[in-house]
Amino acid sequence: MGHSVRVRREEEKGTISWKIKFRNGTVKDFVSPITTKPWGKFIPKLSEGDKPNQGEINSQRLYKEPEGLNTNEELPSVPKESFKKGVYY
Amino acid sequence: MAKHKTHFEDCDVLVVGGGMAGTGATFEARHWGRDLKIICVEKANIDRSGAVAQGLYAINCYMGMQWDENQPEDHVRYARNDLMGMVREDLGYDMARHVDSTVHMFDEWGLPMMKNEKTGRYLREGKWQIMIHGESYKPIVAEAAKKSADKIYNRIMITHLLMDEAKENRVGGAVGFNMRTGDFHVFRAKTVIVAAGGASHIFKPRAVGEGMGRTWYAPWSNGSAYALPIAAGAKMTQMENRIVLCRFKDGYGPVGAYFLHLKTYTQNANGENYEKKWYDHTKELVGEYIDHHPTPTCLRNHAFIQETMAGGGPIQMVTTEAFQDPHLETVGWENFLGMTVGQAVVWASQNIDPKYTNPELTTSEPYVMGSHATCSGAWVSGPEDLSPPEYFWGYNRMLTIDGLFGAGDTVGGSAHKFSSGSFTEGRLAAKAAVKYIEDQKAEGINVTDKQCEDFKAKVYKPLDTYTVAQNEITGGTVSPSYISPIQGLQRLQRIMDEYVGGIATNYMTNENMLKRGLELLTWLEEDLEKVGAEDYHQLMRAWELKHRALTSQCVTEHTLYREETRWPGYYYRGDHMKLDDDNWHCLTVSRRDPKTGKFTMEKVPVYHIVDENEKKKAS
Repeated sequence: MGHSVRVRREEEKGTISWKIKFRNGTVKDFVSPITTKPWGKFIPKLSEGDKPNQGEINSQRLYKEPEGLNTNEELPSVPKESFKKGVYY
Repeated sequence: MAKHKTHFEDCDVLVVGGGMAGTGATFEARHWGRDLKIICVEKANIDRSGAVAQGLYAINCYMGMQWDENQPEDHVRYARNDLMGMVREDLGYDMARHVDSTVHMFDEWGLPMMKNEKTGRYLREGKWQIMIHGESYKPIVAEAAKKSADKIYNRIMITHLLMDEAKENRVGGAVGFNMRTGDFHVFRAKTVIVAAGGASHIFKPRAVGEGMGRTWYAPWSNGSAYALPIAAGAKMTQMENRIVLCRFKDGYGPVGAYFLHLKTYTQNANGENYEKKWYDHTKELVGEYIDHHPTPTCLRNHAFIQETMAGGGPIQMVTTEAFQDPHLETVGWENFLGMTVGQAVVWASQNIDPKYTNPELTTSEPYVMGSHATCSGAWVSGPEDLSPPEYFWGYNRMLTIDGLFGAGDTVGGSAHKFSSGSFTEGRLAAKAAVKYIEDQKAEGINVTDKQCEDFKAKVYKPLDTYTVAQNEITGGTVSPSYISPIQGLQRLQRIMDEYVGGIATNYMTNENMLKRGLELLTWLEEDLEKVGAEDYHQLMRAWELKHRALTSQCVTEHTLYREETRWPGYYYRGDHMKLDDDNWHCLTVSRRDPKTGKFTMEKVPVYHIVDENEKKKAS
């Protein structure tokens, strides 16, 4: 008893603050960001975005791939001939 | 019964659970299924639900393919090694090749990522982890799901899956109840993605009494991820692969950032490095696995447990060196504040300032889950281009029931997904579900009113049981004719603890104990027909308990089947103490017959789709 951890979360400021009070009276304060952008403004509504290309549903790509990987390459894969059953590496 | 109104909702994609996997599924489903009706149902409120509800201080799964920090095959090697040789490598590779695009979206959406000042890259905590200010990780991600869904239902617990009555082994939706209004909800759906939670509180927890409910994994994760598919007759895999966590004592504060970023280390009460003391002993059990790098987590646990049993405890984390640096001290504290605030409360209450005192560690009670460092869960199809024939049946992440998909804790075999990988797996499942609908696989589903009415009677039975049986109480609160959810839960926890390898036996079990455990679990199952609930909240507790009990049966059957100790430090089969690659280098798969309730077990081969590291380097 006598200790406490209190918190204040402020979406408009984009921060969260904590105050820790030990049983012996020691106090520690911390502040962290909770977001880097105005709350929710940069989250897309997919129903209004570009539609997937014809046939893309049959590929392995997900939304915004492969460009969203930032690799300038296609999604990687593994040739099935190399699969090994039941051995240990 | 008549007092509970029934609501019907027909949809194309039904997502059960709005945690990381469920929000990922809900989000992605809209991209591929522009005109489909997408519904997400959550037991709590998706803004703060699932394992990330409290926040997270690191994203534990990020490849960094753009900087060639890691490639998907490196992650397969890592997860395979940590799980003592066995994972579904197709699923792991698939998750890993997509996870970076997920993390880049989180960055765009406003999740505060820490950056390495020198390189400008995401700040690495370890080889796989990147550090974030993640107190609001979940509300940010939930926002994305809300923008994609036709409707999000909060405060509804899904209790059962509906089955199609026109075609055998095809899903037809799900039912549940709203724990605030008490209304019954029927979701008739063409596809269902189970993205519910793994299982905490099936083993007796260390925290009891005033600490009751404090667990490492989310206490509300009640095994619905497993119980829903098990009850419907889906195959499950590696359910014996429970996890025990080495954590800061009593608050379960995570140790990842402490080990990896702050470079703190462990010692026994005499200030000795105890891990090396147990090297020879461990080698006798598991052979060369102890020489692998990094040392598999279970083997580090093993040394911890042996040292404690030998009287070397308490084991401590040496923080007093790192915490002299004010920056590292801040990181150490904020690490808890942003994800496990209870640890800060524990330290404040006991005047533990890690700058001056080395805090105690402990090994937790076991948990069953598929998204963290173990891989219990449903047996699912992999992606077409990565899966051998035994692992592929048409749609990525589809269970052995047509139209039923899984993600996150639900999916077995794909360990080390964590938050970002679970969201990614939700995306994979959602795309496959949309393709399943486009391929006309969900035509002509018939779910009769009778099926829904039968479930409705079952769901509300604990309320009726309580109403009738409370009249038999002559004093106090104990009825001779019903058990309360908390009584049932504590009985379950004791059975699992004492017979299936919990803390009571230092994680030890054997064939005889497991068989006795199964007997006791059968009686518990019988008695749970007489669980009583006095209100809708207790009704939720009753159904959480039933899901936990069914999950526990499956865990116990699997533990009995695997006659070796594959993961010392997670559990021990005293009658088969050694790892046995000759007979058990395979995955275990179970199915419970929904009609008889009997489990059947089989071995399925492990496929290694990725070569050894050294070989690749040489080539």
